[in-house]
Amino acid sequence: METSLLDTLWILVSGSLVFLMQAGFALLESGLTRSKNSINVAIKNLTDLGVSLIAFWLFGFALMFGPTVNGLIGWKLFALRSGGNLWLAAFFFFQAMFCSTAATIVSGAVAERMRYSSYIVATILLSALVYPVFGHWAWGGFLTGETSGWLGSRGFIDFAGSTVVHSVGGWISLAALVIIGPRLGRFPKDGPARSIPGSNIPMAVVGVIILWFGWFGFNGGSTLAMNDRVPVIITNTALAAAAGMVGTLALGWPIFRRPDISLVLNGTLAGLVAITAPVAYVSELDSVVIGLIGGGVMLGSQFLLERLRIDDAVGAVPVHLFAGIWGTLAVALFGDPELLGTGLSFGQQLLIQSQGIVVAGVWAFGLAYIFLSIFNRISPLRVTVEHETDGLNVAEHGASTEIYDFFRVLEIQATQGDMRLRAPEEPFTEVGQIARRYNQVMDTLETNLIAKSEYLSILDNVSDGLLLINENLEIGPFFSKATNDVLRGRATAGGSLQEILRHILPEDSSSSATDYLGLLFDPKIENRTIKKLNPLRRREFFFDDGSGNFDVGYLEFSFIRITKEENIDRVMVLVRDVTSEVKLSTAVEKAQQETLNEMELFYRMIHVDPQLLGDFIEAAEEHIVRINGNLSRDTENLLQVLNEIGTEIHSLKGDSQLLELTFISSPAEAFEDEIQKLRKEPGLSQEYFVGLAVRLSDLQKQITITRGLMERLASFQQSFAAQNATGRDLLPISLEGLAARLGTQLGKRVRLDSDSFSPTEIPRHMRRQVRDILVQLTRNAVYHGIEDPKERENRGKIAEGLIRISSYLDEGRVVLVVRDDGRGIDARMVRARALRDGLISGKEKFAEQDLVRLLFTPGFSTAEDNESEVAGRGMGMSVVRSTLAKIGGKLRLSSRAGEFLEIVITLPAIEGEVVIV
Amino acid sequence: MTEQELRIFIDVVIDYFVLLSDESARMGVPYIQEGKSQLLDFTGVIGISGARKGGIFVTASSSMLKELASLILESDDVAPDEILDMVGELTNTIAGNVRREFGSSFMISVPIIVEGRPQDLRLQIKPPVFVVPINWRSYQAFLSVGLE
Repeated sequence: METSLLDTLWILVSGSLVFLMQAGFALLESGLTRSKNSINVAIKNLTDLGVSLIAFWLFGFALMFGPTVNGLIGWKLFALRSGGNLWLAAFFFFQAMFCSTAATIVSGAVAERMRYSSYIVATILLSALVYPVFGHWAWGGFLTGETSGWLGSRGFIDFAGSTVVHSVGGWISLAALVIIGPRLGRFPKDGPARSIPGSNIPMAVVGVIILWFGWFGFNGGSTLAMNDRVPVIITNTALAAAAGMVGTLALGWPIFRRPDISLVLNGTLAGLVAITAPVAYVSELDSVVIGLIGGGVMLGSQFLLERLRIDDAVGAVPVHLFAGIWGTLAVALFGDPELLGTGLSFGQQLLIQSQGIVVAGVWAFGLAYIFLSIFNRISPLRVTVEHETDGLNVAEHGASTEIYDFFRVLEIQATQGDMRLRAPEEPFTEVGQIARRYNQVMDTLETNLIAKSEYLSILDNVSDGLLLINENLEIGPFFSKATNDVLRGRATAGGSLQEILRHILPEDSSSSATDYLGLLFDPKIENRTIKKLNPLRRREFFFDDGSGNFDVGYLEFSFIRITKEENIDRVMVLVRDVTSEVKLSTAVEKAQQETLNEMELFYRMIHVDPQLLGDFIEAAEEHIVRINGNLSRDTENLLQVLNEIGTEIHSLKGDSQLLELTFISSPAEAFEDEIQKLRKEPGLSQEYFVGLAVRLSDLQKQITITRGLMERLASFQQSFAAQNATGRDLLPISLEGLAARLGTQLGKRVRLDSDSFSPTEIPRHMRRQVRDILVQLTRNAVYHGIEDPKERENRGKIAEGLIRISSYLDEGRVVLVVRDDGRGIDARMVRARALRDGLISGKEKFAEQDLVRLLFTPGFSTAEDNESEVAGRGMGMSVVRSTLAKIGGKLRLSSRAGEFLEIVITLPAIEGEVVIV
Repeated sequence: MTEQELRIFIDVVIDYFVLLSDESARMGVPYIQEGKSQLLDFTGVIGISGARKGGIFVTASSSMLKELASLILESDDVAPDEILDMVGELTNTIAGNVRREFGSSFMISVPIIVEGRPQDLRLQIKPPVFVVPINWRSYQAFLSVGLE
């Protein structure tokens, strides 16, 4: 084969243009991958250039272009030495660049997850074995201008390597992709495929332009001579590239609904790959058609791969493998048979082209798949998940980028929450500027966070309620922990303070509180006034605990306005729980008041014999119980209830008068008054008893107080009495006092003589009853018996009336005699009263004795209408009768009108029935 | 507690029956409670606080409530939960009326309903507690009132 110097020069220039394609690939692939992998991709491009060159020099060239062994493999020319043969050196250079091109296709496809070391192994496999062996089958003998490879000999035409270079590179890429699998996150299990964006598209665009430019050498140099076909080849190359781009856009735009970047980039490359095989045998128009279809084939295969979930990072397989297949077929479809010069028919040509394609697939994919699978078991082709996540720049090469460093800081902050970290600020770079701004934001944020955390720690630890409210009286997002202790869990962020107050204050107080809260945000009201008006300064709050109970607490609210640009922005609310403080002071006050009240009662009780007082209280309590028992009896006979409680209360009144306990006798009298009133009520019903129940409760309270005092007084009096004992029983003294006091009240002069009365003779268990009886009889004597002094003088009596109480023993029984020198019983008067009260009709004939019995009927009184504390309610004799009945005593009454009344009571030695004589 | 205050409570309860059944309930003679509150099958409890502190119980037998409920529902077939609703309704109405009658310086609690005779009824009204029997038809309910 003869070659001119010009041919050699053209081959060298073309080889250099193909070399430049390495730069194009590097820019394209690193531009289409993420920043964290961009360095790795670029380094792989440069590495495969170097490694493939050495491998091709050592083995590949010999296997591809050495003298053939049965058309199957070249031999000799290992580790080529040109020995001054210009053509040999130039041919080697040109073919070595082709080999590197095939090798570098793989780097794009497997980008972002294939290990660097594994990639080198794959490059060696491709450059030293797969590519050169297939190359020999198609192009063997080209060094000497012959066609010695078995495929070439049969008429397989691949002008510049659509199959030999691009499809072989594509097949090996596909094998590697099947083995290593898709990138993390590319095909989520439960969702559509996610596209992973490139980091620098403008750079990828420049890469494609460089590739396009380099392709002029790739195709133009494949003539291996500077001849008249070169210009057409270069023109066809340019047209096919353009058509590929246009075709892809025309098809893809409607599908993607936008001019997707990949359409423009890979469409151009698909056109270039497709025209590579037929470029020397077709017209310009054919080239355009081939390029257009090439774009379509690329686009279709791209969808196919995605469907098969094969992740090709830069679209190398659709561009190089599928467009390469199309280009190889286009040789038969569009190639000018004369120019092809194979002498084959169209069908034969198409068949051999197809054979070549299949053989390339079986050889390249098969060998690569077997070899890489075995190798993958020995040393994984794929990086670890951590490395893939971190990015291969750092993981494989320790090569960081600013954006990566920045990202790392963000990642650590996100995962560890360490807000003290700051991003590295590389000067004069965009990322550096972003990092600086970011750091400034972080500084401010950290300051705020510290301030906030300090604020929150104050809120956690302060012992009072502390909260902020806005103009709508809503509570701010942060408030002290103690707030909910104080407000019993009612405070919530965004909740209304007004609403809380509405639930814990009575309506009148809560409405005045609401009015006040409104004033807090009124700038016209001065702070001083605000402070002065505060209705919640210290008051009682009521917390309904949901079980019908109110938990009562005393709270102290204070309000502080927070102004912002002269507006009242918020109001700080301080709430203090002063319950224990207030309760303590209230208890002290109450104790003081109680002491004062008790002292008052003490003065009134101090003169009373503790024994008598004790008896009185016991009796009083029994009276109360009996009255209450009568009230609760659930009877319709209300008059009877009135009579029975009337008897009880009368007795209670008498007892209290005896001991001069006016604080009991007065309410008892009022009680009795009410009973008298009710007796006369024609439509007496249960409703009338409401007042009685309340009075009873008041009386009970007085008696309870008296008991408490008595118990304290008793111990005092016992010690006092021991020193001042007169030896006299206190009952006679009390009765003397009662008679004198009642007499004075009625304007009478009365003396009670009890010298012959010996209370000690009375059996102890009857003492209380005897006292009650004597009290009633004394009262009756003073009121009904003893006349006023004027009347007595008119009757020839001395002015001072005399009541004599005496006692003696008769056959072991105590006999008590109460005799007064008053007016005695006037039978006429008794009859008149009985007639008045409707107890008798006036027609019956009553013996005097029968009339006297009337005296013992409850409510019967011979007194005039001017009822007083002393008598006139007709209860006295009724009390005597019922008391005697209880102890089983007898009563005998004798009287002479105008002269005397004598009542003789015989107490039982044993229990017996009362006999009224 | 004053006579007037006690009358307010009684009137509120009596009025409730008039409103409900057009049949007046009659009060019995009020008395002072001795010992613990006597509870029938269902008891409505209303706490009172503010100007005065205390509370009221309205306790009734289930047969009485059943009859009241059947009167309202116009049906003889009254389910147990309808009886409970009845007590809730009764207690709520009484609480509402007490609130209205006592004016704005009082706090009336959310009324609660107690079934049976629990040992640990949380609201124990401080004595003196007035018990007012309420007679309606052949039944008897009890109103217990205690105000400090």
